[in-house]
Amino acid sequence: MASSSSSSKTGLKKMLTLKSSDGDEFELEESIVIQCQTIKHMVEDGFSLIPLQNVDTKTLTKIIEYMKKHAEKTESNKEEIKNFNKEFVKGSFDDQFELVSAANYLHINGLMDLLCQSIADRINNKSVRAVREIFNISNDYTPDEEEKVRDEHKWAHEGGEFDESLD
Amino acid sequence: MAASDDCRAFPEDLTKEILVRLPVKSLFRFKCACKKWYALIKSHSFIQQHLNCSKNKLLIYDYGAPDDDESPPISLTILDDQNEENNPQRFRGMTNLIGSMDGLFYLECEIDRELISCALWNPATTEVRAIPLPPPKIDGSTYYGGGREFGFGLDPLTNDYKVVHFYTLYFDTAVYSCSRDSWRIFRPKNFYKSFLSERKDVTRRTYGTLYLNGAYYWLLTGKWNILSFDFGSEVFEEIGGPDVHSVNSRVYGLILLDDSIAVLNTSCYDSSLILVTRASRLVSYNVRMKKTMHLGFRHLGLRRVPECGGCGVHCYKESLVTIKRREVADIFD
Repeated sequence: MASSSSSSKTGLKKMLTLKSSDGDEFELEESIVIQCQTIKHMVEDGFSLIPLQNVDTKTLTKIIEYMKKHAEKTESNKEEIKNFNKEFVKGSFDDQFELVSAANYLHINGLMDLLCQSIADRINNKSVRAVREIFNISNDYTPDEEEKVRDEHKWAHEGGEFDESLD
Repeated sequence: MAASDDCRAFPEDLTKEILVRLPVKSLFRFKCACKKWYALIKSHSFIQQHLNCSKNKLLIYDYGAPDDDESPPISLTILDDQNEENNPQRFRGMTNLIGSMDGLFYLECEIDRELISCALWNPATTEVRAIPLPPPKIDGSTYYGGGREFGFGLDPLTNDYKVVHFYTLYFDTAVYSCSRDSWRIFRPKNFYKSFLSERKDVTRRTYGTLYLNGAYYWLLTGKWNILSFDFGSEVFEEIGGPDVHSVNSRVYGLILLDDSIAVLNTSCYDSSLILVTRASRLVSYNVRMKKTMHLGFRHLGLRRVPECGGCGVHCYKESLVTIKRREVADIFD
């Protein structure tokens, strides 16, 4: 612990290389990457080339974009970060799910929170049918069973139209 | 683990991370998605995690004025982040409401200082569980004019919701537990001392009450001591209150300020105090951010005496916790 804090004081920026599952390499400052708990632990174990077998290049590029922006976070640019986050969660559901898997694997808590909340907000008003499509779930109820489950909380199925769209 | 039929399906642990951030109404709807989701949303761990993610909401209860009707209905309004009203529920004749604990409330109907009915209520799921009346007091209990007191909370070790009920200066205390579904009557040791002031003939009335971490607290007038009841051990204890001189005589009671009990004449949630302005407007003041927010609600003012009409504000979290007596048998397991 003591040695790692003294090395950061020397002024030399320590660099790390992240390698995606497609084999692409990204060189980044250690200070940016340690937002990610999984990588932080590997750095503490002395790794400087970090292979990420579960993260493809497309997803990793997005994650790096997020980490770079959030490493700049100060008291004065809160609004800017907020706008960045807003744009960041705009992708398709499939892209967002890829990012959730990666954020979970890499243990980036802030990103995990951001993504899950935004997906939750987006599906909040969706119909059951739309949610099945979005999450790739097949309906395993018999019509009778489904009717019974619906009857458990009838009021939750009332109150206006639910959104059938898949985006 | 057996391979899933649907290899493109999103992993269940990540699905859970997303679903716990949804409101109760949507979750009830999504129980229809598939059997896995049904089981997930019903599971204890999901309910707990959902509660932790749940944001604070305000519940406003509004008594009709006494001359409105013989038993004025009480309307309960729930305000969400956008101050929007939704999910209105009415309880005719309700006079007392305390909570919330894990999004649950204890409510009762009292007429002429006599308890008529009592129940537990989850406003988010709309579940109501009527509970049997506590045993009545017997003659002699009006000694020193003791009043009726009650508290509601959780025994965190057994995950059991309990109601404690007693008459000040009357020795028997009753505790209702949801898992027992009955009242246990016991006689606490030296309990009555808490309610006697130095002048032996005057009862110390209880003022504001509060639940925190497995115990219920009553503020006693006079020396401003605090009486606590532990829902786990079911034991009373009296603890020293603040310095008498530091307490304003107009003090209303106890509030929860972050993780401490505070003595103040306001309600509080999320580091915010709920205040009533002179124009009878509800305002929340965040003590951390030093920000004032108007809650856009106007009434005659907060009253502690229901007979006079008025309204009250409670902070609560949407919760999936069920208080139903018996789970409806699962449709498919």
